[in-house]
Amino acid sequence: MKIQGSHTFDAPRERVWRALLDPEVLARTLPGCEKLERVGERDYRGVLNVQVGPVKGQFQGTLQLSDLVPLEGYHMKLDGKGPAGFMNGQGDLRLAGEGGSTTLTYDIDTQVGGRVASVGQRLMESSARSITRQGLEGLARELAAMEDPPAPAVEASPVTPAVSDLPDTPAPVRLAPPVPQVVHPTQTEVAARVAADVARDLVPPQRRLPIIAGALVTLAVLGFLFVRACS
Amino acid sequence: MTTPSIGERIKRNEDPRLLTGRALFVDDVTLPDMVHVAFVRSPHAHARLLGIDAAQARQRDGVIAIYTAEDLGDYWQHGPLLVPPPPVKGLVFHERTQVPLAKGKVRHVGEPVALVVAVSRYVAEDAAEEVLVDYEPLPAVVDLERALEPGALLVHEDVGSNCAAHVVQNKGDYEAALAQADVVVRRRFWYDRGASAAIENRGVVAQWDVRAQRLTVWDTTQAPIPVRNGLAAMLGLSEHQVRLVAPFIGGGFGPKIMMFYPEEVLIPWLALRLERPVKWIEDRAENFYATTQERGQLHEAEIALTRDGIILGVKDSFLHDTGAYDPYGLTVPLNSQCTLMGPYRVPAYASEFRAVFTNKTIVTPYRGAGRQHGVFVIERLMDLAARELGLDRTEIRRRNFLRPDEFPHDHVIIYQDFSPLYYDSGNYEPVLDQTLERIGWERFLREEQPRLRAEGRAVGIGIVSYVEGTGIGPFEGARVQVQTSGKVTVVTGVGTQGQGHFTVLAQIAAEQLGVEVANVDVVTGDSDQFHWGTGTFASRGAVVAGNAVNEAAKDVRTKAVRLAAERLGVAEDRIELVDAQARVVGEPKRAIGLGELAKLANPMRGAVKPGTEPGLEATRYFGPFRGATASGCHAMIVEVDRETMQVEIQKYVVVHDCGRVINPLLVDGQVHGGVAQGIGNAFYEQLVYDDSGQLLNASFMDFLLPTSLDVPRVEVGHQETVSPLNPLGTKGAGEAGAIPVGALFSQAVEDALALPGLEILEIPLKPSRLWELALAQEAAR
Repeated sequence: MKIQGSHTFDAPRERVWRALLDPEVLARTLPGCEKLERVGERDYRGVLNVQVGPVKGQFQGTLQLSDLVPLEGYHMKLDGKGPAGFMNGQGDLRLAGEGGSTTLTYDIDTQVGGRVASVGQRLMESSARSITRQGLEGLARELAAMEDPPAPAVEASPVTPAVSDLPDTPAPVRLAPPVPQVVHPTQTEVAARVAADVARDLVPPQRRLPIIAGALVTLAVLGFLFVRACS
Repeated sequence: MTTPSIGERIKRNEDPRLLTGRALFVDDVTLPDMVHVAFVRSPHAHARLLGIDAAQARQRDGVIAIYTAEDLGDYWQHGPLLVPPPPVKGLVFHERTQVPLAKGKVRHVGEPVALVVAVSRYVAEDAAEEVLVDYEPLPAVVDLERALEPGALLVHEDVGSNCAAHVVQNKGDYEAALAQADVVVRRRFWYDRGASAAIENRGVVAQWDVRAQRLTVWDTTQAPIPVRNGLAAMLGLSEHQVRLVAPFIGGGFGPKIMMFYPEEVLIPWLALRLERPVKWIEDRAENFYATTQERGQLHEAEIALTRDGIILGVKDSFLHDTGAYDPYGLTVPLNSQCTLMGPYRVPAYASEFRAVFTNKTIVTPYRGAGRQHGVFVIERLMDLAARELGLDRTEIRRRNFLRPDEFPHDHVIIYQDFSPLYYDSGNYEPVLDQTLERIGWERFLREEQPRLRAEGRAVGIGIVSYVEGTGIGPFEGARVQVQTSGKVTVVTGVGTQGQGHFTVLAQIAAEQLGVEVANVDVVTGDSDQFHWGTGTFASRGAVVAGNAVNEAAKDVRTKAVRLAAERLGVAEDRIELVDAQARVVGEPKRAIGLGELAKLANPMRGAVKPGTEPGLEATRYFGPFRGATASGCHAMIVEVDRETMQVEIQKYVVVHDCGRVINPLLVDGQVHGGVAQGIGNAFYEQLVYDDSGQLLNASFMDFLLPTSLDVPRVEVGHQETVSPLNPLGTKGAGEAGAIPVGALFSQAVEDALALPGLEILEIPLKPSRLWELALAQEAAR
């Protein structure tokens, strides 16, 4: 399955680039992400909760970034596995744009296996689109709240290695202080939105009203019968 | 008077128990102190197994043990090859059978890599999720043609290629036939995989009685005796120390005769090791990966004919998907090869196949067992040839049917039972005529179709013929015993999977002994009751076990008559067995009950003649010289909704010839069930694998089974052309309903859509696929 698309943020490239390298920002914006921590120069480890249709699962995985070109983009490789199966992915994130507007283009090729693939297949693309969209919206919220330029900020965390001396990473990875006013959806809300998006994908707009009306009528009839049976 | 039993529409003896929930299935077995197993299965189709870490899972409360391949020691062995390759010259076969738990590499999604034993299935499942398995994924071998290309990644590196087998069989000189042909039709045909989807998943319960030193295993198998023998050998026990019970089975359809499944090998071993009863019941998700499947074949076939539509020769070359291992040998592709000549006179046949290892679930027979493909290819070729020659679909078949005087007919090539492919008997044209009559062929084509087409409706009709090799050996046995109550017990080792053996075998004994069918108790599926047996497969139960029961009952009859003649003081030829009595012909008052005779046959005091066997009892075995060939025709009328491409079956007729019919009601039932499964196979059920070998529709949300709304009422006609190969004259009927449905569906849908140039050369179909095929035709015009 390919996850492809682009999104334009109202933020300068530098800010987007910074966010894309910040595990805390990513953890907050990636829907279902429970944890994302840096374990190497460009290696991250995390836990992601995913629900695809009836299959719910926790994936433990690693994220590796390579070919970093500051302000331009990077290549990413994702490996996740869990009781519900596995998810692997690799692809590129690219940034473009001038001034206060930045366009992020993503092109990621994924392989999914196990129960999540065999049972969730029909809902997988819709779910992936929904998760991606929610992730981008979350990132936009973060970007809006981030200060620009970065304040003389604290180091990300004690375990974060100093990356400023890496030759191809001129911008030191410094994190903005946590931005408490950015409220991200809870995991339940994320799942509910995925379900709503998937339903929207499956039911064409012209059929939605009759289906909802039909469901309401059925519920009303059932309710009536129930009340009558009880009385 | 006792009602005659053979040939009567008698209701099933077993149904009251089944319908009131008083029948034992494996999952009903619950024992004190029992523990439960869950398997850790590979999510990858093809991957190196780098390591397994069960440390965390072992910590979970209630976990008793966790095993990987390394923990099995010497017990870790490849499964047996169930059917060795037949003696065909130049045959190549690479035996690569499955293992209990994967070691080094996994070769299909769902292959077990570890097992967890716990106090409950819930705990076992939770712990199984905590077992960490380190895989290095490899590209998967999925496509049959690409699998054989040079440089393809290998499922089994040591074989050197993905070619599991190569078999060439020829009859006559096809090249010479081709040279004389006026017309040659050549096409590629694809038949994809489906799941047998029995209502009962697999399951095994095992109990080791340490004081009796006996192992009891309840197993959803179609082959109780061979499983008992195999387990005893593997576990180092004598056959008498192992009792294998295959109680009522909720549908087998072939996959439950596969042996040995990893779970079947491991659960009894655990019971011995842990000295506690152990249970594993397959869940539906596991069933989609871990129970064997069937049907992936790609054929390139051609038929050479005269301009009168007479077949001169057929040539076929096909690839058979055997999955990750090939424990069942070549049964499925051999059946395809040997069914492809159909009911026709084919003077020259050049056939070649390659079995291909892929990173998919293992392939073993499933109801039809390769015959579907043969019927699909030859029937489609006949349709295409008829179209090319401007002949009627039924006429081209008539012209090529073997005539009654051409039997037994020698087709020269070697069949799945290793003997040459002989059709024992047959009479095909009357079956076709009866089918045409019942479906209303003439009237539909003359009146109804033109009228409905004028209204803009897409209605069509189809008819196909087929043959089915049934009733193969090697043998079955039966013991028939008259109880002192006068009731009769029939014991056999054949096993059952729901076909009605408790009734059919009872009818055969009842007929010989003059008792009511309801008073004959059939016992099967318990290795303690009968020591020898093969299993219920290849439409052979009524033929092979049925004739064994018949022979044993005849012996009991002889004993009863002799004893009664002595007792009543008349000659043996004056005794008849009627109403559970032996009586003197013409003097109904002079009689003695069968129960009384049974008592006399087992005296408590006094002396008997030397050489006397006690009891009214006999054991006999029957092995047919070769398989019997059943035949039939299916026809149906369909309407296709041109907008949604949904197909509605409006009428379905089967006329079937399985030799002497023991119980028409049961044969009807077998045919109905088979047709339902055939319709599923033709239009609903398809196992969809992606390029990485992932099964994408492993649930009943996405793998569609036809429902009662999709399966029409099936009208069944019978014709009886007895088999000369067994005393009862029977042929098998279990698979007939399922075999020709794909070919029929294609023909009828083509007729309904009436798009010039539309050729349906693949099965399963589905609305979206029909839409694509129709669209391609519209575009071509």
